[in-house]
Amino acid sequence: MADLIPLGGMKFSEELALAVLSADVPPIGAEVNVLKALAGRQMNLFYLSVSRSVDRTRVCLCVAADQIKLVEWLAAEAAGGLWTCRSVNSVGLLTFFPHERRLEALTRSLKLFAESRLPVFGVASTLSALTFVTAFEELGRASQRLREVFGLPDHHAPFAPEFRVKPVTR
Amino acid sequence: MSAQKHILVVDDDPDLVEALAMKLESKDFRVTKAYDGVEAWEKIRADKPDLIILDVMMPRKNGYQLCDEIKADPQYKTIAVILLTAVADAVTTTSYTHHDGKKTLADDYVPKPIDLDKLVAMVNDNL
Repeated sequence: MADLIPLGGMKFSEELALAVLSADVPPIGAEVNVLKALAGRQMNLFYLSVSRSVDRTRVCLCVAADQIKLVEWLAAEAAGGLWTCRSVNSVGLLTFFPHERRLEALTRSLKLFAESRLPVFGVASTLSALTFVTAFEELGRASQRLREVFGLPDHHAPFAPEFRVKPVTR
Repeated sequence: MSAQKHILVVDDDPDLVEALAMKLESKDFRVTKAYDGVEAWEKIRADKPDLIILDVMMPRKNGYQLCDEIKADPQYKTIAVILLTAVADAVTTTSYTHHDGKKTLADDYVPKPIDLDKLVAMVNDNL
């Protein structure tokens, strides 16, 4: 069996909803207008990725479960009907860190998700962390499988969040 | 030749920890990392740092608690502690702000978002 890849920690998000906004050949910067509309409502984005190809732009974002209808409305109305919105309820983020720029961390975790038939709605890397968007109810199973290849510290913090910061409501 | 100074960076935001570590390592500090207050205590006992950069809002043991415990411990109370605090008017549901940071025994505090050059200057001032 291969050596465990050492990690500093692993975290779960609270239950979230995923919105996937797609547009064919949108004007340059069109996604910025969507993000401004969301920022105007002081919505926390727990996950955001933007991908662009020659003829299509795709924005994936996760918000609190009770805010997904507002995202759908903003995408349909406030953004001028440019975007089609597909949403997935009850998703969760599984984040582990630090990946220390090891490509093996990505390949081995993707292989585990595939072998375990765990859904992957999105994956993104930051400076330190690798985040998977999966089904909320599968977070426990996903972390269990990942611990077959990743080693966590002995006295690891609980995976689930212990507090939530809310924006100011004026 | 002086020995390399040892900084412990503690924050539950792994990207912030990494960014701070990269900046401090580029200034020739030796950096260790912890992601919550409990883990930080383990790292302090295993390898006593010269200075701790400590977030206040963390799971399990927050930065205020950890700072109090460090400053109450004769073996560790001389370690300089710089708190990372949130901007008071940006959050309403927590008390982890500049105002509360000033009530602690920390040696200094720096507001988020962090100016990395100012933080490095503050680290040098407190060593």
